[in-house]
Amino acid sequence: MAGEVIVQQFFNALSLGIMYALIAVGFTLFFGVIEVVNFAHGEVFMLGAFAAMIGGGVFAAAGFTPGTVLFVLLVLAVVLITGALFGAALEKFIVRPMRGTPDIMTLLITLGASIVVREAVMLFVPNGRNPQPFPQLIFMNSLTAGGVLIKAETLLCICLSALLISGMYYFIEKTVFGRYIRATAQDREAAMMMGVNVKLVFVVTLVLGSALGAVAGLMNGMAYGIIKFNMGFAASIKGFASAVVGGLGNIYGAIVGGLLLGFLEILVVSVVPDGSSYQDLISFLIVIICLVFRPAGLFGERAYEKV
Amino acid sequence: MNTYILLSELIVYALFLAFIVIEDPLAVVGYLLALFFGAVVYKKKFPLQTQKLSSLYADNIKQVGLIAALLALTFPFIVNGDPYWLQVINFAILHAIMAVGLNFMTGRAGLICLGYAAFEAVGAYTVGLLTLKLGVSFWIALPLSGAMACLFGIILGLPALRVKGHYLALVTIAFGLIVQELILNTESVTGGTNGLIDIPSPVIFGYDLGTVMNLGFTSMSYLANFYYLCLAVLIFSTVVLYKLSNSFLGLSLNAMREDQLAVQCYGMNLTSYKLYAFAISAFFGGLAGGLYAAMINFIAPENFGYSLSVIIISMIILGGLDSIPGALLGAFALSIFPEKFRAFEDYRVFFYGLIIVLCLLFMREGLVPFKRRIFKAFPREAG
Repeated sequence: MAGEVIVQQFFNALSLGIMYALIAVGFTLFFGVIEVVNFAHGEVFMLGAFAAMIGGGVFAAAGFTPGTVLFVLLVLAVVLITGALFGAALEKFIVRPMRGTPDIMTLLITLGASIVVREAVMLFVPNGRNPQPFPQLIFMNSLTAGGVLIKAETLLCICLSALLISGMYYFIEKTVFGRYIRATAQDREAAMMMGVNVKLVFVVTLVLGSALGAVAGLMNGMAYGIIKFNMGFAASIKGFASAVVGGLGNIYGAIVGGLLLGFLEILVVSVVPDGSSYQDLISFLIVIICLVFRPAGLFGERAYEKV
Repeated sequence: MNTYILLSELIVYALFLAFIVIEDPLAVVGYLLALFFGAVVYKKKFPLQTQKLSSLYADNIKQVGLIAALLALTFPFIVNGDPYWLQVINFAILHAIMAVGLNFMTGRAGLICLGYAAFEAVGAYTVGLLTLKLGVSFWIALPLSGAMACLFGIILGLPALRVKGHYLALVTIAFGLIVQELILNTESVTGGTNGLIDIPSPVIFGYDLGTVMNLGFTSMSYLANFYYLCLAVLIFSTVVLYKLSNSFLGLSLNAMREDQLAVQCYGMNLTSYKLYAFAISAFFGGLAGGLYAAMINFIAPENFGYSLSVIIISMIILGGLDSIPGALLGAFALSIFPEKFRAFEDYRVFFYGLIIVLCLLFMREGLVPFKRRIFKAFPREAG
């Protein structure tokens, strides 16, 4: 019995952690490359979920059968495009005009942008104030093996995230443009002098990170079946926390940080009695402890201030 | 007493009262636009006079404050004790206390705080629990609410000392949520989601502030009592923070905001200065919370959420970071204007977000930009 519970919770934690990791990768990319903490990143998570819901509805009405591979791919495309567009818009209207201002200003403006987007969804999506049921995208039986029940959605989400993360790894480590991104992160001026189109790098970074965040939103919708306009806030806190735990700017740290946070949360919920009411507190405490004892994160390099 | 100051403040007060009288939302928009363009045109047409007036205000800041305070005393009589407007103004004053408090930390010291509502919660629950459960007098509980918030400010400050910028934002958000969660989860003491009800109203010399204010010739809602109480606290907060901002402490915090490394090289102890900023700022949040609890008689954790912190931030951004008049103006503007658009109540938070974005994009210095001090000469001999 105990073993089954552990395996069950392992999968829960894995799917939660990988979702946090997808959000955290965005935070860490933005910070590493553009030196911006994007507080509006949680909203792309929410927008991704809403895009999937609305897109799913539209495709179902257009005659595609929910549950087919084509249908899922179409919804995924809609989600990715929504995230990418949001990222591009953010770059154009929010991040670029604020370049060269103190950190606190950029931070506050992304905060303002996140409020605007969140409230806009609440106001302008029909019945947006209330939780929305997320349409079922796949109709597959849950897998049962030795008393362990795993939802097909969970497996799909885990596979999808693994695929996306490996794709991103390939893009950043193996392609030419990935090299530009890494160069910009390392030294913006030097990269510019070597002829890297830094502006384009910024746009691509935001587009990439936001698209991943949107997929995390889709996963959240599939896993819980219900989405709400204000779900982005908690997601952004958790994602940022994961990125910080892993060391802001370090992509692999962010993935590990996300998984760590997911596992710790599930651990607390399942081990501590009445732990679910403390679920959110745990991640905050971890972050605060982490910031106090290892401000650069678990895998971050010790940062020295340039004078 | 300078006639120009008196006259200009009277005009502003009259314009404000006219704003309260106008009912129709469209007329309100028209009125505000007219005022705005009037101000812009005046500034363009008479740049010299504008300059003169603003330097007059800057040179006679004490007089300006005194006249404003005196004018404010008349407000309950002018609205004839109308409970609705008194309530609106009282909330505006509480927001103003919080805005000037937060401004000290975020504006003056450059330490971003996205969990300021937590301090108000601490203050409110201090007053609520002390007066309700222990029967302590409100007049003792109110300073204690400030002190308690101070303590929480230091608790927040300790982990926050090692972080800055983005990390500080995260820590303060987390702090705000942790305080809220703690209140929710300690149900036996704080009443959890149900909150605290029937918090007694303050009594001074046998006079209960929760009763109708009867002056013989007129009687006003009990809110008029609280209006004067809140106003007194606001004046106290503004004066104290003004003095502190211009003290050695305030200037050091200003220097710290500009360059932490540089001031460290000059031998400034960042740790203690940051803690001062946290503690002082938190104190005023606590006071506002204490007043809130006594005025509303009912407090619940959802009143002190993240959105309140954001609202206070948007007030100081609109007014201009590090500007006390700006913080006051921003707080009053953002508390009172939405009342005229009650039909669009749902759009309120949307509007706050929009203000943050637009201000930062197009009006980074706010409505009343912070004036850099110009050193005429060294006032005292150095050394």
